Amino acid sequence: MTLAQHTIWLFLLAGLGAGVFGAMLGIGGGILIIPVLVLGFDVPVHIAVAASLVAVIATSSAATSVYVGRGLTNMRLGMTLELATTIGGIAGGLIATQLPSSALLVAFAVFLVPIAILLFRGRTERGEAVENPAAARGMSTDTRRGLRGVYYNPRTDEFLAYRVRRLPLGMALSLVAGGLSGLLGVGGGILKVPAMNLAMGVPLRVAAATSNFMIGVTAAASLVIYVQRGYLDPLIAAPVALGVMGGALLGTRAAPRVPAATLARVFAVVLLVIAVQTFLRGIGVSGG
Amino acid sequence: MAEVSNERSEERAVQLLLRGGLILSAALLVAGLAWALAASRLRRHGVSFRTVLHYLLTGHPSGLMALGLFVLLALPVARVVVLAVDFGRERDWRYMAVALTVLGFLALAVVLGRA
Repeated sequence: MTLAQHTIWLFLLAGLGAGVFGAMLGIGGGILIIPVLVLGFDVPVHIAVAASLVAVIATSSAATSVYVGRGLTNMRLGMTLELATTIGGIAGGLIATQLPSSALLVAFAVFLVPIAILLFRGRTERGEAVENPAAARGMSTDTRRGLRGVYYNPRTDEFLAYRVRRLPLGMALSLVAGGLSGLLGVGGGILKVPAMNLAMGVPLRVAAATSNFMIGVTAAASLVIYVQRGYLDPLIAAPVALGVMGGALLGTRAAPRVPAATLARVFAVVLLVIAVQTFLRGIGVSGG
Repeated sequence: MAEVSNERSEERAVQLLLRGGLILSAALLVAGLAWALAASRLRRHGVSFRTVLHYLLTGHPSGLMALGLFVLLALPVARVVVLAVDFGRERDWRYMAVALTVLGFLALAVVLGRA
């Protein structure tokens, strides 16, 4: 199949939009890429998933290169959860070709709804003021009592401390997130941000930065499987990746000026829209 | 085990790696895409780790684009390597082991992914 020139430019534009939104919300942008490619351009699902995983890695790398300099990313927590997400990503990638996607899409849509509601209602900026912020900035520690961290909130101009709670639950949720990442090419930040924020007590900004850090490795684990099975199409993945790189840099710069409560609400509404889209696609209403 | 460690050097190493890799990847993608557009070579096809060399040697824009995509794919993997080394330098053995295990899982993905 030969593509028209303007289609390439539209792929680039889709990547740009997904990159801006994805970086601001700590999601890979895949949830936007896949519907656009599959529903808008009739790209086969597996090829769209591979392009989306590329976009997820681009978002993660671009956003992390900005976030780590701000001391928002908890790299020890991210690494620990990656143990679960990579295993999930491999499993998801391997079974993606075996199972009917319709059933998975419906289950995914249903699963998104409670997360969206919780996030819409939940309080996001948890933490206590720190006495010696200059020394504590950008540090994460691991004591017998668990992972801790300190981060700076530019909106209130204060340093906040937090402690990671319920790590086993977080690992379990990360495994599921990794699996869905490999199956659907969605990065899984969609699950990791609420998992860290709501289940593990990690502040939203830290959760978003740490999720961005993690999704690249998770997506890489699944992408190597898609590449080896011949699903990586450069003419689709390259323009999407370039768009996402530019968009992620813009989105990450804009993120600190967006109030966290609004960010969570926007995220919740986005989740609901995606849930409806995914559900319709799952039951075969929206074509493809 | 109440070890407190500063993440500054780790952050710097990760930041440099990701920025350099992104620039290299973007340059390859732009060059390949511009070439494909200029030469109107817009026929879709998959490229794998095995076929990328063939496309590069036969002068096909897909080879260049695929190379850019593989550089991108290598970034998260390289990031795990950088952190494993950095954790080791800090004598934070627990997190070095965590990083190496993640790396092992990625190697497993390559083996299991073979069609």
